[in-house]
Amino acid sequence: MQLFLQQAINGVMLGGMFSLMSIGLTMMFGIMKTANFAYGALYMIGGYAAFWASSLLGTPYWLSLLIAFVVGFGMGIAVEVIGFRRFRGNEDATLVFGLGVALVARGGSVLAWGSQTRYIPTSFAAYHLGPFILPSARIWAALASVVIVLAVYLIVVRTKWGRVIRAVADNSERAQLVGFDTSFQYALVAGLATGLSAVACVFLIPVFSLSPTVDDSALYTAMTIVILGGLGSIVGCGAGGFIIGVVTAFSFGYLNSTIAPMVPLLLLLIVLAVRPEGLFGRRERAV
Amino acid sequence: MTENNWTRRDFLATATIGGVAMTAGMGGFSFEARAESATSFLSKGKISFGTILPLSGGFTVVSQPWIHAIKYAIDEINTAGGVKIDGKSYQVDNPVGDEQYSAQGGLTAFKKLAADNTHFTAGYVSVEAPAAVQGVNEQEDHLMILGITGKNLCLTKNKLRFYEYALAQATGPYMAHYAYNVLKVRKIGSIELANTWGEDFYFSFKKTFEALGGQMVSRGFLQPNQTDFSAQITEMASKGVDALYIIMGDGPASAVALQARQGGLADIPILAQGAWGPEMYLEDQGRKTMDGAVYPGVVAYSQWSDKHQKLNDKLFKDTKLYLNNWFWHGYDPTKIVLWAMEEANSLDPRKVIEAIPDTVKKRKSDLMVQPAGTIKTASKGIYLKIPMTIGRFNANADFAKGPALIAVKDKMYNGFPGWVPEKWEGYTADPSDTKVNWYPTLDELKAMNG
Repeated sequence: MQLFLQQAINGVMLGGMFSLMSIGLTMMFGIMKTANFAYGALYMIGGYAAFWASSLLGTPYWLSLLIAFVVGFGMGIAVEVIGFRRFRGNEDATLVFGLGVALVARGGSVLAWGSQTRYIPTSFAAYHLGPFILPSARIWAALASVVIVLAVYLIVVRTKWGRVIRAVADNSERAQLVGFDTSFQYALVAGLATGLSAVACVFLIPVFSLSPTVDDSALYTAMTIVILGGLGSIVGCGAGGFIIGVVTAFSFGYLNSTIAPMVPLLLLLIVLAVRPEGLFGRRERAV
Repeated sequence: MTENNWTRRDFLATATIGGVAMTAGMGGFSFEARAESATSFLSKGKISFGTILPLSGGFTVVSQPWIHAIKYAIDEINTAGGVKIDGKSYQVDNPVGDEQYSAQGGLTAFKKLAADNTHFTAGYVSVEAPAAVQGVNEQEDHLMILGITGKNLCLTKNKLRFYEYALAQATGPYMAHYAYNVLKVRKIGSIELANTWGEDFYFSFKKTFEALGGQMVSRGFLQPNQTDFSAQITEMASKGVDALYIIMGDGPASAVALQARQGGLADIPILAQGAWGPEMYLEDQGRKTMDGAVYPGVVAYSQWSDKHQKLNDKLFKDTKLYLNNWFWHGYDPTKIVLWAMEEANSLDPRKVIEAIPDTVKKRKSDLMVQPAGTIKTASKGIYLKIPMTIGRFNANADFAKGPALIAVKDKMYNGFPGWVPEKWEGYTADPSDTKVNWYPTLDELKAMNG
């Protein structure tokens, strides 16, 4: 029973980390209607920005986080202005552009930082709650996830700017007609989403470490969670992350690792069969 | 002659004439082939010695030293005048194919090189790629130089395979012996790459460890692209393991070690197989995580000489990486095969592989991995007898000036045989034969040696 409960705790923490990994992609899907296949690569570069700041400049952890956010924000605006804006409405071009950016970013990362695993210094400290072990790095990442996902939700739902970007997301032409600068709003959202993905990467380096391969795992994980939760649903991102996290922990805890990775995907298929729009997604209505 | 008039005599006469004509034709053809033999294995006038390794993704860190080691060996031979066959010198070309760490990637790269008349390839870091190529290589008259262990990979039938590394069956028992007798470990948790490579290390270790009185209390598996190991670590911690055996290298291995240190296994020894090198210890966190890990490497990994220094400087200049086990997969084996071409006085892979035992015997002192010879099998190619050394990683070493792996003091673990003795039935049996003792204990290995 103790092992079962520990795996459940692992799953909840992992779920938090997965939600954190996915929140940027959720924003791009939900507000910009953009399938950003460069997401994993931009997430990775954000992590490397923090690594570089930490190892070359000796910046403290919080400052590395801030630097990662700024770099991510800049990259998000750059890919929006250079690519996604020009290809908006053309899904094939958007997809190819995203994949192209990902390839260049991955190759460039190997050249810039090498292919070896990198770290940002952290402690091995673990909190002990009775018989249960709570690694501090995971706790912090999970807490950061709750704070960031909640903050994004509140910004989008409760603030004036949130109403603006929801209006743009709902119907960009109509929003433009009433005077909103949609290009500016898209750029802001792309910057914020990518900046948050970079922050997520920095929070997860102490757990997963950093190498040019993290882009793939981040993209696939984020895609799975975003599709499960419902494209663009912030609540779905939070819930989807926790569900996938718990299912992953139990799968790897009790099944052979050749079968275990399939279980979260099987769950995704079952959910999509029952609810094609995902757990919290909105069904597209015919006009 | 109508069909009705077609007699047995007519048939026999015609068949005889036809047969003679065909035999004469084939004889002419084979004469033609023999006449071409000196050049028919060349590609654009050069010997093509290919490398098949991943060029992108997580295993680049493994493949870069390996790719460069092969290149350096070829450069040295070329600078010395090339490979001399029939009194003529040939330069060696080194095309590189992208293995992509997959069966499809490896096979595609192989076919492309084979189409360009490459008859020798080295590398293959995954299990999947060489498994896909094996068999096809024999059809293509192509010698594979392979170093990844696993009975379903390197103990299958293949007459054109030169196996250049240590078998899991040989290193596992020594690691188990060291863990039990020196580290005084009694309960081990292991996590292995889920394939024949991982399985062989697990069972090779387990048989000896359990024979000594130890217990393998937790066995986990991992996939190359897996990032989270909390479930497996939790299980090990709950069973009170007093050592962690990681049967995997680099990215996933460092993540396992990092998460183990964070997840309740902060102080226990780590035993390691696979790609472990200085690149894992470059930063403080890597040092904290993996310093002191126990690892079996080739003897050259824990030694240092002027030659080591030169190669290390060169490798660092080209890749920003330092000498590691993967470098030694590529450097000497490439030279052995190129020298074997001269020994055979032929570029025919079937003759070259036959010349490898004599080549190793004659050039032993020129080889940094210090092979003890070769094992020639009837249907499974040739295995290099490569000595191994158990060492512990010194994460605080100056990797630019010395080895990261420090050999342990006990002589028993220094230069131990990384091969199973010739009389082992594994060299002739089918890997699926369950009657064969595929994982002999250390005592059984010693008994085989007499």
